[in-house]
Amino acid sequence: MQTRAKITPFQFYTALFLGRVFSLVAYISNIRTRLSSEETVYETLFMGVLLLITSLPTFFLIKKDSESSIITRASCVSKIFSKALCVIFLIDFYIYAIITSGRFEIFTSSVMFPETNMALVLLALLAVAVYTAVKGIEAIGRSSIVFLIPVLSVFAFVYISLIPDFNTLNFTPMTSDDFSQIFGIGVYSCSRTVEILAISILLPFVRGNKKRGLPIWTLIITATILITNIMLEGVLGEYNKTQLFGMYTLALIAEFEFIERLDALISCVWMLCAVIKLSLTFFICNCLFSELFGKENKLLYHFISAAVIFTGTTIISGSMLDFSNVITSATTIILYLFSACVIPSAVIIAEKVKNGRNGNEKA
Amino acid sequence: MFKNMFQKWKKSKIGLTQPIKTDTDDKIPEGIFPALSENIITIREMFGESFDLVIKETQANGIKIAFITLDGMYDNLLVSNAVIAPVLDMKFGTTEPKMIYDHISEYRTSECDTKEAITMPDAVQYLISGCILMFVDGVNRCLALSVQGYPKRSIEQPQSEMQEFGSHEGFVEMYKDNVTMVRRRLKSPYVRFETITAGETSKTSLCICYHAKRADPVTVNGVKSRLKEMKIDIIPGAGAVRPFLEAKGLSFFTSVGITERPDVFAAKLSEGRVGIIVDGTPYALIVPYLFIENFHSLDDYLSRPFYTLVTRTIKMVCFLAAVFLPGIYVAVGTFHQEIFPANIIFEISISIQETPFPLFVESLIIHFIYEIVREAGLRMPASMGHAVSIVGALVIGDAAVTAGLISAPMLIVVAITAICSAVITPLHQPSSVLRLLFIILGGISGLYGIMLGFGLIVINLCSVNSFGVPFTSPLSPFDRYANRDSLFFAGWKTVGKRFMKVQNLRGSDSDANKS
Repeated sequence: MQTRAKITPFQFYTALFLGRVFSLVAYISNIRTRLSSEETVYETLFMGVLLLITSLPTFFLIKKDSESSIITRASCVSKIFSKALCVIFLIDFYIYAIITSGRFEIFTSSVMFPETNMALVLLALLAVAVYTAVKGIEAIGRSSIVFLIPVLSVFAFVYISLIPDFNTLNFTPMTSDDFSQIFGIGVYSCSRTVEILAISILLPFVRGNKKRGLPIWTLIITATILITNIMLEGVLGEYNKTQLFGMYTLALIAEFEFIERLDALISCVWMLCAVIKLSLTFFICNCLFSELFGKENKLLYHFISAAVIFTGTTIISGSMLDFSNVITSATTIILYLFSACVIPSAVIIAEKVKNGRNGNEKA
Repeated sequence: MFKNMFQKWKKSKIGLTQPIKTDTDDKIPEGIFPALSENIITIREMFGESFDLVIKETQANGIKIAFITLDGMYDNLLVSNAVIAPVLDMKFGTTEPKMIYDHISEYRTSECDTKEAITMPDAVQYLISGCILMFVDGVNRCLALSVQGYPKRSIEQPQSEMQEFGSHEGFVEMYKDNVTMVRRRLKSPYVRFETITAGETSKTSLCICYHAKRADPVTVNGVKSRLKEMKIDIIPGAGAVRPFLEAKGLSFFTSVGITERPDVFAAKLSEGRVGIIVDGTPYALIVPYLFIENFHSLDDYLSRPFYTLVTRTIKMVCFLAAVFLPGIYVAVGTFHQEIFPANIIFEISISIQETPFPLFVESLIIHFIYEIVREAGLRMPASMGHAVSIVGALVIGDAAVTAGLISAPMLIVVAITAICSAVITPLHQPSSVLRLLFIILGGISGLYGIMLGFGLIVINLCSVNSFGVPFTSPLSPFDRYANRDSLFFAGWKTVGKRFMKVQNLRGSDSDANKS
């Protein structure tokens, strides 16, 4: 995967951060097991540890060779292995993109425009994402930096305006659920950080020290989720359990001076995160298609990806029931562990085995 | 597949227009005849009945010579004193045409710049550039004497870039005068001014300016090749050259800077940029150009840094207001009334209720009218200015609100938008169009549509590379060093220590080794 267009690690990890922020805002709390308010803090901390552990295979992958993608390295081991990885990753990313746009559709149809045809809204979002992907990784990276400013500003604005409503009593008693529940939800939260998959594929497009950025990125993600969860529980308390989109409710009750609601602001910046997340997916799918079928029909690959995601989203997000049936926590956990841990580990092991054989042959 | 279909469609359209073809080159004989009469006939045929073609045949030292020029293009006094008198007073001991020609060339016309034309197209080119041609019978070449003296505008204060503390000199139509103004500001032998001719019919001189030690050679060569390959019939102004230097891909924002000020132009050249001065226009082009430069002005560098920060912030806020304010007003008034407190919404609702149009339509109408008034103000004769002002202020401003056609808050929004768009003149054109688009987006899909549109604009901006330099630099990719002069200006004591080269900005192609 040789490329001329390159972005800085800061741009790269910012794009991934925005992708994770999207998942954070679009967190549908009724498809997970409930935890008591105070337990979410432990769960987030546990999730952070898990995130660090599950990112280790990717970390070692970068440490060994930070310039080649996982696909290129797999092709050095075996061409069939590399093609198989491309197919697996394509399926993975399509599933995650369908989840992303499914959440977007549910959010828009239940909160933003309950009476509008969602297909049009989804098409508009996909069109913008395809346009971004067509413009290339540089456009994605650069626009991520620009989008980061409104996203952080709005989040900070909402949180600061909610400080008067924060109640520490919502965090008592300190323990009420058993550890197995915290563990289960921690693993599920970790599995929603699918951006780790993208790192190993997009390595050739990033110029600079990528290794250092990975642990910092996981820590920032954990801190962001922790702050959000603390705010959710501290402000909403038990009321949070009854909300479909907790973050949206948080913004709904926030008010600042003459502005009486901030939900529109949160929804707006959340859309920017959706654009970055989907465009990154389109770009990765395009890279994978190019590895499989050559680089001649790049535009066609984008359209195929858009069609697949649109169709998938329309099917699964027809109703909340269908969505929660397909997107169970088990599905995402298995997918995540397989793609983020098993595959990179397999590539590292296969490389070692091949190098060992080559060493023996030379000896 | 789509590419092939598009190419077929494109080919089918080509037949609608005529390809640009030189209308003189195919008639002009290549060489200059030794016989004077044949050269005169050729030039007469070429220029036809043009009254301004002046041919003066005479004799010098017993040899027939002819002066050919175009009336009004030369300086009478200079021609008399530096050309005609020395040649006619010539006493030379031979009648050999070639020797006389050489003698005139070397000794008799030294008071003016002399060039030699070996071919007829070259001779004609010199002639139409204002030179006087001197043919000697029996010599198959001619002298072109630079005695241009056509009427020109004197150097005046720039009209489109008014500054408080800067120089009062602005570019003029004569490119050589412009070059002199730049040269006076950059006294370095490495500042190069190279001319090429473009425009099949207009044969306009374009002067490519750059600092040889600072400009990226790839950029310089890129500019030269794009200008040489330019297919254009006439160049009415610098704006006609601009599209040939723009970055690839569609964008609302131009990646080619334009200035009327020699001081700004000189400063840009010192940063490693390439400038193009177009003959006949008081504007010069600059590449690479960054988006942030739309918010910079010369006064920023001549004021105290804290004030520069304030003015640049104001300009950015004004740009955002000029583009987004009407759209946001329509979106909030139509879809998100809950954002504002009840008393404000109550006032806005009353005003909306009193008008016959929905907020979205009302906004489009009033902005359309504003654009009409603005365009009229720009194009109309000065004597009509008062009439348009009265009509604009009284009829649209007052009577429309009193009659209940337009709500007062909407008029306030339009007024704020109009003033804001006047603050950022370089971005006036894109902001006018984008404003209307965002009104439509806000009216159809509320703040979400506006945010999606904002995302699209940002992505579009971020995808542009002006000669390998990211258009959004130094903000994204973020460059700490270059940001000493972006949103704020760190002051000359800090910035003046080292010069900035535009191709060294983070993310530039020409600086591939930078991490």
